[in-house]
Amino acid sequence: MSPTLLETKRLSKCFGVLRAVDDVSITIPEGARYALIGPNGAGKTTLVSMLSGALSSTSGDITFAGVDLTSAPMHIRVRHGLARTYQITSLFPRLTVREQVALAVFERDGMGWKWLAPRNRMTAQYEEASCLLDLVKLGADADLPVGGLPYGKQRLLEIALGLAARPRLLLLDEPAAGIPSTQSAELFEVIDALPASTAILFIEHDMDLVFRFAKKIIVLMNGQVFMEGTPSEIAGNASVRQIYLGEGGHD
Amino acid sequence: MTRRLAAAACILAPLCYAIALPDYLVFGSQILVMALLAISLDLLVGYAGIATLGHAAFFGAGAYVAGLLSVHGWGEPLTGVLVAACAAGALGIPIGLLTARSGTLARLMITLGIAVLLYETANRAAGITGGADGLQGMEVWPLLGVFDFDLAGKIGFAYAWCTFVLGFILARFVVKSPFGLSLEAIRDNPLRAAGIGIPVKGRLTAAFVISAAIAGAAGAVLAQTTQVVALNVLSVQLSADVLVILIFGGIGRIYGGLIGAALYMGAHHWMSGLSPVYWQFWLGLVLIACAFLAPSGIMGLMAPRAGGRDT
Ligand SMILES: Nc1ncnc2c1ncn2[C@@H]1O[C@H](COP(=O)(O)OP(=O)(O)OP(=O)(O)O)[C@@H](O)[C@H]1O
Ligand SMILES: [Mg+2]
Repeated sequence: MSPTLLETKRLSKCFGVLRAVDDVSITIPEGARYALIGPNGAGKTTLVSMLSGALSSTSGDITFAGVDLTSAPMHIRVRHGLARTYQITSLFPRLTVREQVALAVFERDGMGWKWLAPRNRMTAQYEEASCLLDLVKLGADADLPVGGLPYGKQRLLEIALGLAARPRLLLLDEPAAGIPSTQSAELFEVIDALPASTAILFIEHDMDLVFRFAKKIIVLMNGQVFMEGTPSEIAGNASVRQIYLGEGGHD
Repeated sequence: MTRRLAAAACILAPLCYAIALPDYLVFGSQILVMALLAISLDLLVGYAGIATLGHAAFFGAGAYVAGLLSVHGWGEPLTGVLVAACAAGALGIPIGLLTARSGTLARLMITLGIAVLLYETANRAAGITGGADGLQGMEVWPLLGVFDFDLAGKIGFAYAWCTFVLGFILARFVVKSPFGLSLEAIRDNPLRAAGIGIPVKGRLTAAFVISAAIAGAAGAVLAQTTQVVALNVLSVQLSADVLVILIFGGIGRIYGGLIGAALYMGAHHWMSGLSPVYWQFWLGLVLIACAFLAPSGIMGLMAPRAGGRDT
């Protein structure tokens, strides 16, 4: 078992009376390939948002690589190596593809405060951006503004942007949402080929993809961890099959 | 390459003006001062995406600091500009911190509120500022100890031109830096900007300080070249004027400031000559026409932006 990278203790998020995330305690080891599944509204996105710092937690703790990040702002978490992508594409529409990946590299390298140095001389960062774009097969679109890019390519750019921070843990919220299923397998091949130094927790509804690419699966239901196990354990569990996979339960 | 040319044209155009219209150098200096102010505003509005209605606060602060310095015995112009820029920049820190935390509407209220506050303070403190009569009795020493500010405004124009060029180059460096790119990212999507590791509030505050300092320098140059500080350097009207100049010229394009200032002030001059009382009526018409015909300003007509790549 690899050492623990991320640990949450009794993490909860309330929206008014709704407990969207309820007492979630999970651990994610280094180099993980974890899937987070659960029906619509189970609280998956909310949990990822709390981990990334986009939402504050109502209660509970988040420890990442031994550091307590429970109330750290988002950019500090990124600096510690905790990055995410978004279920609903969230990019910088007026910047070019390469420019925004380079931006993430600048920030990671601590160059974001350089306010008088011409960035076009910073070739190392731009080259790294180009490499990342090649990795997600966007090399040919590097100089286009993001606003006009087809949706599937924007999804790939989301991942490149997440990777540019060189995260130790990348949280992928439905990376394949909104792209044809033929392409989503391809997308997951790219994700799966990422170096083991990047642990991954992905949310995905397509169970074929989940079983194919996850080493371990966390099932969330009504904000709570319903079950956690290997793909075969999950597939073999009658209640998961009944409630989540929609099998059995007919009247 | 074409952008280099445009930058060179922007720097040299004022010299052509000086040769073509040697009798209007004082007016030319004012255009350059307004252009610099518009450029500083563009860093905030066009690049960082911070809406403000109170940019005159920094301009006026710079003007009063330079004015008071020279009234009270320190008339050296260059250090005066430096001190004024620092003072305006310092004023930018609390305002930047406040606005970085707020939404668009709150930003408009905060910046407007602070400008109005300063205006009234300067109005009340007549013993120090001269109040509504303006700050009189400035004694500006010769530039570099050699060049006396003359009545025809030759030295004043050269001085305003030099400050404009320095400010223009500084702003260009800022927008072409990684810092400048992060401002554009924050403007486009602040949440995601934080998500790639950008300290959003810190960057916005820093942008505010840089912009305020440049605006303060512009105000100082106006004070030193006209040797008087009128209360309207802090007015809401001026904040609105410079916003209009920026919109005329094109937001998010450093060149827009100069083109907008030349056009706006030229039109102002011309229309107020035609009808001294009603010129604002015509200005209103032009503004509305501009909104329809050139919504992204003159620079927008000339060079549509492909993206944030190389501006
Ligand atoms: N900002 C919010 N304010 C109030 N309620 C919210 C908010 N965000 C999410 N919720 C609610 O919290 C619950 C969990 O939502 P969440 O988006 O985390 O689900 P999810 O598991 O990601 O679902 P999906 O599979 O549809 O993406 C839902 O009932 C949702 O309506
Ligand atoms: Mg979701």
